[in-house]
Formats: sequence, structure tokens, C-alpha cells
Amino acid sequence: MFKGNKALKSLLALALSTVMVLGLTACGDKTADTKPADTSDSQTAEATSEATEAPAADSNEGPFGIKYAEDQTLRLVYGAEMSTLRTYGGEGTAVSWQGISNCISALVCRDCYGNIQPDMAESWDVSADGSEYTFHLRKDLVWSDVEGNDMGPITAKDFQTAVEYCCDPENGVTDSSLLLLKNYKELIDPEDPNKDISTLGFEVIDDYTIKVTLADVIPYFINTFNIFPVPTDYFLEMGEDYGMDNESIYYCGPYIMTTFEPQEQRVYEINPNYWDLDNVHIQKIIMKYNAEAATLAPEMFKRGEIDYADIGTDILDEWMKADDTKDIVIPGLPDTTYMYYYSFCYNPQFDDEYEPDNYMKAINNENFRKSLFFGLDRRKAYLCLDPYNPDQFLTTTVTPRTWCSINGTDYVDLPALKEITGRDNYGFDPDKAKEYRDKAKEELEAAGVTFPVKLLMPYNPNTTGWDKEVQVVKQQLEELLGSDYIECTIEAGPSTGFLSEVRRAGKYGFMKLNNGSNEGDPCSWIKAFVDGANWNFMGDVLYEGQLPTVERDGSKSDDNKDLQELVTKYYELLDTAKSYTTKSQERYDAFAEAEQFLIDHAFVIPYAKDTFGYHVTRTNPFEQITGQDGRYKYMHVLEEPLTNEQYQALYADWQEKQAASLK
Amino acid sequence: MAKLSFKFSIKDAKTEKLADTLLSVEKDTLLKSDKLTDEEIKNIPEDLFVPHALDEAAAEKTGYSSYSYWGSTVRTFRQNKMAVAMLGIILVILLFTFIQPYLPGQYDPNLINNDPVTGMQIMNEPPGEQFWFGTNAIGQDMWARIWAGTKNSLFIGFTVAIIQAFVGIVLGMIWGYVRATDFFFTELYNVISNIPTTIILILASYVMRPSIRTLIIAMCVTGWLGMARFIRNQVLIIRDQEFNMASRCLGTPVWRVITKNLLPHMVSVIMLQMALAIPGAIASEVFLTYIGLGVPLDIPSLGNLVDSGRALMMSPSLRYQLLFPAIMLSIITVCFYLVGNAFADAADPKNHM
Amino acid sequence: MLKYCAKRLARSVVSLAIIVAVVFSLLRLMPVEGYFSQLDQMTEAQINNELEKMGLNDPVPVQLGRFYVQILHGDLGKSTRYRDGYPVAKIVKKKAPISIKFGLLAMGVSLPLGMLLGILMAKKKNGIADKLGTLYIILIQAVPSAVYYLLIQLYGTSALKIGLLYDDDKPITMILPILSLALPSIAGYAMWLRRYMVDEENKDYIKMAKAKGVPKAKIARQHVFRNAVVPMVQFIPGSMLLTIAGSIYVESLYSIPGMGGLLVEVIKRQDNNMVQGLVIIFAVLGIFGLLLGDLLMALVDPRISLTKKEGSR
Repeated sequence: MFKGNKALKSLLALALSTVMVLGLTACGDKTADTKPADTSDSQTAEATSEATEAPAADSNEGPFGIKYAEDQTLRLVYGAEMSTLRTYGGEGTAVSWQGISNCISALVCRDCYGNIQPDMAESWDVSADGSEYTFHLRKDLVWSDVEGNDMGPITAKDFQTAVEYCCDPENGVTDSSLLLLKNYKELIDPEDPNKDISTLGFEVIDDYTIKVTLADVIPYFINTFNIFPVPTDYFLEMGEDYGMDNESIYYCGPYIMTTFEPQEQRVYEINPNYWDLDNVHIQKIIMKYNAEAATLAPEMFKRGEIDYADIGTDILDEWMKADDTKDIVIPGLPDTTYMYYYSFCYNPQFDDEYEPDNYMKAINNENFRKSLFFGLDRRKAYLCLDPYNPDQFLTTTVTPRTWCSINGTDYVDLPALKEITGRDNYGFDPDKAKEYRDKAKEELEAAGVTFPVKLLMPYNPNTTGWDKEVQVVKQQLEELLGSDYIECTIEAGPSTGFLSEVRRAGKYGFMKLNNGSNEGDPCSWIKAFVDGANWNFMGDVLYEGQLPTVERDGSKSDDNKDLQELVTKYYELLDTAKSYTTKSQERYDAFAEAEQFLIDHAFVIPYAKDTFGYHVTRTNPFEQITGQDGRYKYMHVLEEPLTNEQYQALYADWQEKQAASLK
Repeated sequence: MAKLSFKFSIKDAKTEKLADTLLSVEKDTLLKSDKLTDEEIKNIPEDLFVPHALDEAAAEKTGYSSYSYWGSTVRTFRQNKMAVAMLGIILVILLFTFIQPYLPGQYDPNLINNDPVTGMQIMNEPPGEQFWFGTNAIGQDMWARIWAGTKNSLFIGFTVAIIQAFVGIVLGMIWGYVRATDFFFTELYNVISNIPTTIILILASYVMRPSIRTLIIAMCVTGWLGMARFIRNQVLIIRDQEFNMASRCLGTPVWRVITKNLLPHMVSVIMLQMALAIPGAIASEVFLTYIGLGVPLDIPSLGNLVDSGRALMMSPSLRYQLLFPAIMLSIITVCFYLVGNAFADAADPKNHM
Repeated sequence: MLKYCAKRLARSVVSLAIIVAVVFSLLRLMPVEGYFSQLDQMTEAQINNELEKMGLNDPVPVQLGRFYVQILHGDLGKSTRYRDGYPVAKIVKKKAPISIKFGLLAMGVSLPLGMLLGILMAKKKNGIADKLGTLYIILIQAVPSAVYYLLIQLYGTSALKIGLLYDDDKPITMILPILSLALPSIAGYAMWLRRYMVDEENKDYIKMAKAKGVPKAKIARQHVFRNAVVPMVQFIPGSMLLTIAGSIYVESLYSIPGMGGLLVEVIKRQDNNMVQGLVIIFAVLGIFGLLLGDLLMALVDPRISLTKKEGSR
């Protein structure tokens, strides 16, 4: 939420990202007052106790000589807005989720190391086969209205009301968390006759106990499942008007939104009835909207008017050189909320001007794909986003390092992926690229492809740095491979609705795509390349020019035979991997194999992790989970801007503890 | 531009003025002082008052002068030294945008310059010997970009001006001449002028992808109306004026009426409108870029140069990236404004002495 | 007079109906996205269901008819994407007064100043005041406003030692936005007034008055100025009403929660109901302003008869 443009950028990822809120999170001085119950997932438990270095809530000093401000008021400017406070049936953008998540708690939350912690559920049990979860709610939870009045207890019924709302196809809500539950998909499908809500894998045992049954057993369920309660009586009374503004909603999170004026300001104040007030330090958050936030924020930070500002690459140089600012510019952390890939579009829907048929023939050829795979200078492209330290963000694999590990081996170091991980220059190899180019040229000329192949490269003008990156990539590729081989056309997409108009509409030829996940499982990232996913449309080669949104008749065209074979093979590998339903070496190896296949056949070019970007701040970024900026519980406002030195110390400390927590 | 409230634009103000001056008949010459003292009157030589003999040949002559419309226009225009200088500047700029890429040692405006040693982009290099106007955040040469941007912006401006003028003149003539269409056009005018221009610009830019073509179409959709209305007013005024009626009574063919009686009176309005449409179009482009609907970045234009420069305003050392395009924009606007006015004055037959 | 008003009013209503129809039809060309807040999560069937519910699957004329009825009831519909489910009228009601306040204050500053400058300039054509004034007018036109607004904000706030953004509780923060709004308007008023005064001065009756020996000051005051102001009067009601539209640049720079940029914003976010609502409001005010202007002009200038046929000159 700190970042306006980041929020917009993240719109891109919503298609496949699952519930983001889930990952919102927390940190540092977390002392869980209740112990999570035993779970079969070794990841979730245990970590808590180690994360307790930070001082008590009322202390004035943090680690490494950081001083907390007297006045715990956080002041921000922002440029992207949320339109409603509805948890369900809302707009569902990242911005709006982040706004809501400060006001509404969920069953579980995360700590600053990304581990699942109890929130409204004080503990949970998992059945032996992993198909049933039983959540035990806290008994002291109450609703608050906008003035902070106690509006009655929160019970399991309030969760049920929310779930029932999401099950009614009339409401047009599809909740990604509930999709994991038995029968949800059927219930929301208007075509399906099954409308009996009792068949849903969701059951209220008593006022404080909820049992859910999974559709398919998945080991990372708890990492990705989350639901929010609604105040049953009030919710039903308000109907469509619930959550329309800050007064027509009840609160159960750490903050109450006392002012909600879209495109003006939002003010959060502490919720006096919150169950975990000891860990809420910031008393008040004042967020002012400014359409020019990106331009004004750095200056406002300098003048002490706000507590956080992004430093765009444009002005970074100057800030890094000036005496008064060079010590406080904090580099962004690599962040795995989203991952970025360069990819072709396997079901191109762009205008005839860019010769989609010719393009399709070209990308059907593996050597053509490989020429770009090896030809893309990832490092150079990334310099547009971070001119100082691009290396910590770049990746050679679809799944990032440290995402998950098995028996002490990081997933990316598994035998199947080892060679790919070890590549120099992140896979950029100009000689190989030229070699593949020559082969591709020969083969494609025989197949009647006309050169240069036109690659449409759209970008979202609202995403910081993308405009620059796309120009760099175009020039680099054309220079290396020759403009008689490929012809890149840069096109500015619409800044609002970019996702739906360009990416989901298949109107690109070669573009940077991103995708979000938070499951902490090897399937997290590569499963995004499934059939029916509307982002690189890989599965669509199995059908003839039919979009995933229409009912497909399954007819195949022979034009992309090579692709079809490979994609079929890939799905087989994926299915095999998925058939191992518990966390095991077999599961990890199988997924690694699928991933290797995906990369080796150059279906996608792994590119980079997400980042906050350079910024200046009067907060401690490690009090939040990386990337999940937006939840202010656990955070403090600092007296002075955080210095780079403090930041580095905090980072080292955090890395150490995170590694320990994942053990 | 977002002129929802009553602000002003040079265009309207100046053309309105012309219309008014065309209407008013009196001339400054009447003001010439002819007050003479008694002394002076006495001193006037008597022989000035001897009656001239009747010249039969001269009496047969009808009024004829060697008046040439364009000759007079050019002559009058040339008297305005400032405007001539400005015209010179415009021509030099225009010419230079075409010559610049062919000069030795020039960079391609979209070329990202890499440091030959490190292979890194030469970012934000201040103006210096290698890059005269410095480089931007990804190492593109600002000098080349500004000239390419000027060229593109002028292209947009000229195209818009020409389309507006053509459509405006044709429809304006019909509007003025064919009385039956008056109601239709008037209503159309009322309706369109009441829909905020911003909406039309945005809708058009939205429906079509951001590109130069889109910008031109969006600006022309409403732009022609202003021109058409002025033409129509001119036609109405002149059509019923005595000299024109006389001309028609004498049997002057319609073609001659249009070219000799109507057109000279309108050339001034047309030229002024066109001259002002160019900076107007560039200003609209800046606005559209501001709200995110401008041309893509690989087509440099003054609009996107100014807009990306604006974001750097807060950093004193990078302000050159805003300064240069802004200066170029200002020069172009001022030049067209002054030249347009001077030419309009010169083209007005009433100013031909 | 009354008959004229009635006639004008009727014509305004017709124009308005046409404007609504045009905008309405244009918006139907936009993707249906504009009616949903979370289209990505909906299935084809759900979307269709909702469209049916909103009546968007009916032919456009039917929808239009329904929309006219709706407007007649004073209902502008509900926002979908800008602020989910919130009535358009309520949003406007909150924002409009702020823009009007700024607009009127800026007008209160710029109108007298602009007139003063115009008079000074007209007083001596090609004098120093005239030349400086012209320079100012040209500069205002030539320098992109997006640039000088930012400069005013940057240096103005540090000179006044105030925050960069507008603050409701500190009236001093209103100075810079008003100044920014006033600068171009001053140039505008000055330019028009100068024009009209110079034209007026060239008229026969002024020459006659001069010939008769009427004092210069009296001529300027009683004849030139009074007559020159008449055409300006026509625009004043309209521009006062349209202050409601706000200024996109100024308001977004200072975070002023007014209407400026609202239209742009909702068009970009494809909030079709908001676009419709706003266009109708602006069109009504525009047309109404024009009507008021004409009436006011007739009141100020007894020579103008409104019943004269338009277009015959």
C-alpha cells in the first residue's frame, strides 16, 4: 500500500494469484499467546517462538539503535485507490485487499518470515489424510462499528454467513479460497443443478469451531486458505449497501477506518476491541491521495511531511549522491509476492497488422523460442528497474530460490534444475542465441515463415520503469538477433484495464508477465501454466484458436504440432507431480522435472523477482512480511529515517531468523 | 484541453477579433488630423485652387488598379519585422528537424547508448560534449529526442491544422451558403460544443490505441467545428454585403465570386486558425500525455518529453530534461502565435493600403 | 421576453436530450467491464446474468428511454468502479462545493485583476503596459501549465513554509492553488477586455464624442468600458457555473478533493454510470449558463433584443 504504482502493477497478477490477503502479515515481536495445534505441515508450526527479539510494545527503542517516534502516526501519500470496503463481492484488487486487511482479520495470518500464525482461529487440527481441517476460534472476539463501539461477539456463524454469500451464484462472487473446498465450484456454477449448500466442504460444529473439507488434498492448503467473517445480522440487514463506505461495515481487525473518502484520504485508527492490541503500535495512519504521488512524495519526505516515499530510478542517482539523502535510500528487497517472466502468447489475438499466423508458426519452432530465450539479456533489461544491484532480483528458474526446500536442499538445487540454476548470466548466451537463430531461420524459411517475425511488445505506461525496460529489450534483441529476424513493436497499453485488455485478451507477442502466489510449495509457480490459464495461453495450443473463456470443442489444428506434443507432455509431468499429495522428495523431484521441461523447451523465460524498489522510510520494513506491505500491525513509526546501515543490519538479522524459522 | 470553464484560447479571441474588424467599416484614416491654424490657412498657395480642365480620356476610364491580393499580403506581412523573424525561426526549426538526423555524429532518438567499457546504459548524463542536451534515464540522447519530438509534434500539429481547415472550410461553406442546412449544423454545433472536449479526446484515445493517428483523429473530431463556424459567419456576412451584391448583379460567375470576393476575406481567418491550431494541437498532446493517453514512448514527442521531464522537476540536477523540451515548446507556440497574427493582419484586405 | 425564454428553454432541453443520447450511445461502445467491479472473478454465465439484471442486454433505444425516465426522477445511477455501489449524485454533492469554492475564489481574484490589466493595456495601445501585458499573455499560453503549476507549488510552498498539499484546516494552503488557477484567467480576461475596448474606441460615436470635446476619462468610463464589458458579461454566468468542473492539474497537484480530474478518472476507469452522470451535469450547467448569459447581456445592454433572429447578423 505504500506504493501506488506497485498496487497497479499488481493488478496484473490477480488473475492467478490466489488470496493475497492471506499473506498479509506481521512481525518481529510476535509472541503468540496461543500455540498452533499440531499440523501435518511442518512449515506452519514451531516458528513462532524464535521471532521474539523486538522489545516490549511501550519501549522507545528498537533493535540496532532505532528510535521509535513519540507520535505513532504514520503519514503517507498514495496514488491508487480502493473503491469499496466489501470483503466479498468487492473489487478484489490488491489495493483494496490491502486496505481491507487492516480492518478485517481472517482465520490465520502470517508473520514477518512468511510463516502461518493463528489469528482469529487460535489453533487448528488436521485430519490424518490431510483432507479435513478443524479451526478453533478465539472466544473473546468482538465486532466494532466505526466509532469503536462493541457490536457483539464474533462466532462461527459469521464465517458461515460469508461463505453462504459467496456460494450464491446470484452474487457473482468466486472466492479463490473457497475453490479449494469440496463442491464450491459446482455451487457457484449457475448451470450446475447442485445448489444444496450443505454439500459444501464447510461446516460449523459449534459457535467456536469450523470444519472444512478439501476438494483435493494439497499439502499447502493452510498457506493459501483464508476466509473472513461478516457480522451476520448487520450484513443481512444492509444487503448490497454493506461495506459501501466506512460507516456501513463492522470491524474486527487491528484498525478502524475512520475516514474513507476515495481519491481524497483514508484514515485508520486503532480498534479498541481488537484481540491483540499489544502488538498494534501505530496509533493512527493518515493516507492522502495524490494523483501525482510519484512526483511529489520524495520531496514531501524530504520536508518531513510523510513517512515513506518511493525513489524512482529517474531520481535515484541524485538521491544516492546528495549528502543529505545518500544514507537513507534503502534498496528494495527481492520479494516473491510476484514473479516475472518473459513469454510468448500461445493464442495470439492481436491485430492482423502484426501477422498472428506467421507469429504462431514461428513460435511453434523450438529453435526460434530458444533464440530469444538465450538472446534476452536479463541483466541489462533489469538495469532499468535497479541500476545498482540487479543481481539479487534475477532468476533462472520459474520458482525462486528459497521458496521451498526438501530435506535440506533448496528446490532449485534439486538434480533436475541444477544445470539451469547454475547458468551464467541467468541464461543469457549470445553465441547460443545466434546458433539457434540460424537453425530457426533455416527451418522456418522452409516452413514458409516470412521474416522478420513481428513481435508485439505492449507495456503498461503506469508501471514504473516498464516503458524504459521495453525499449531496452527491443533494442538489445534486435541488435543481437538482427532486425531482419525479429521486429519488435512497442505499444503502450491502456493504463487502466491493462490486464484485461492486453494480457488476458492475448494481445501481445512477447511480453513481461507476472504472477502471484503464496503457497510455499513447488507447484506454486509452475502450476500457473495450466490449461485454461489466460496469461500465456499455453494450454490453448491444444485447441484451435479458441479462448479459454468459451466452451471449447476440443478440435485441434495441425499448425502447432510441435507445441501440442510438448504441452501435452508437460501436462503429463505436472499431473504426475500433483499425484503426490504430501510433502515428499518424490513430489519435489517430480515438480522439478516438470519445471525443467518447461524451461528447457523455452516456453517461458524466467526473469526476476518482484521488488519494492528503492525507497526512503520512517518504518522498519522487517516488521512487515516482505512484499506484503499494507498491514500495519506490529509496525512502528521511527523518529528518524531508517539509514542504509541499520537496514543492512536488520536484513542480515532477518535472513538468519527466517532461515531458522523455515528449518 | 480541459476547458470546461470559461477560460480563453488565443484562437477564439483572435478570430473573433477578425470577424469583428471585418464587420466594422470605418478606418483609422478618418482620424487623420486636419486641424490647421488660421496662419497656415493663409499661407496655402492660391494656385492649388485652380480648377483642373476636363480630361475626356480619364473620364472614360473605369476604376482599375494594379492591386494584387497576394502581393499586398506579402508586402504587408514583410513590414512586420518581428513576425518575419519568427517565421524564420519556424522555418529553421522545421528544416532542422529534417536535417538533424543526417548531420555527422548524431544519435538515433530511440537508441539506448551503452558505455562501451561497462556495457551499462549511460543514464542521466548531464549536457556535455558527447551528448549536447544530456541523456535521459535509460541513456537516450536528449538532443536527438527533442528534434525528433519536435518533428513529430509539428507533424501532428500540421496534420490537425490541415484536416481541420479542409473539413471546416467545406462544411462551413455549405453551412453558410445552403440555408436549409443551417438548422442542422447549428444544432450539431450546440450539441458538440456542450460535450466537454476532454470527453471526446479521452473517448477517442480510449477506443483506439495510443498512437499518432489516434491523437490526430481525436483532435480533429471536434476541431473542425470552430473553423466551420467562422467560415459560415464570414460567408453570411460577405454574401449580403453591397460589393458582393453589386458584383453578382453585374453577372460575375459564382466561381469568381468565391475566389475573388469571398476567399480573400477568409484567407486571413483560415490562416490564423491554422497557425493557432498547431500550437493548440501540441498543447492538447501535452494534456493527453499528462492523463496517460499520449503516444507511446518510442515515438518521441514534445508531449511525452515534457511529461517525463515533469516527473524530474523535484531534482535540480535533472531539470535539464524538462527545460529543453519546455523551451522548444514555448518557442514554437510563441512563433506560431505571432506569425499567425501578423499573417492574419496582412491577409486582411482592409489592411492593404 | 418570456416567450423567448420559453423557446430557448425548450431548445436547451432538446439539445440536452441529444447530448445525453450521444454520450449514452458512445458509452455503449465501451467494454462491459465498466459495469463490474470484479469482472475477472466472474464466469461467463454470471456476467450475463448481471447484464440481464441491469438491462444492458436490451436494445440501446430501450435502455436510453429508461435512462431518460431515470434522470427525470433525479436519479443519476450508481458508481461501479470509482466507488462501488455509491450513488453518483452523492459523490458529486461532496466534491462539487470544493471545486466551486476554489473556482469562485480564483474568479474573484482574476476578474478584477484581469479587467484592470485589460483597461491599462487598452488605455495606451502599444504602450509599456500593453507590451508587458501582451508578453504575459503570450508566456501564459506558451509555457505548458503543467510545468509552471509545479514550479509554483514547489517554490511557493517553501517560501510560505507550508505543506505541499492542501489542508482543509489551514486556509493559507489555499493561496497557491488559487494563484495557479487565477494566472491564466487573468490573462484571459485582460485579453478579451483589451480587445473589446480597442474595438469600441474605434467606433464612430466615440469619435463623435471626442469631437464634441467630452473629457477623455468620461468617454473611457461611460462609453468605452461600459460597452466593452457587455460581451464579457455573457460568459460570466457560464464560467461561474462551470467552476464546478474544477481544474485537473491544480487539484491533482495539491490533493484538493474536488471535481477536477474526476471525469478523466472515471472515463479511464470505465465507470460508465459516473461518466453519464457527470456529462449530464456539465451539459446542463453549460447550457443553462449560456442561457443565463444571454439574459444577463440583454439586461445589461438595452440595445440587445433577444427576439432578433439569430444568424442573420
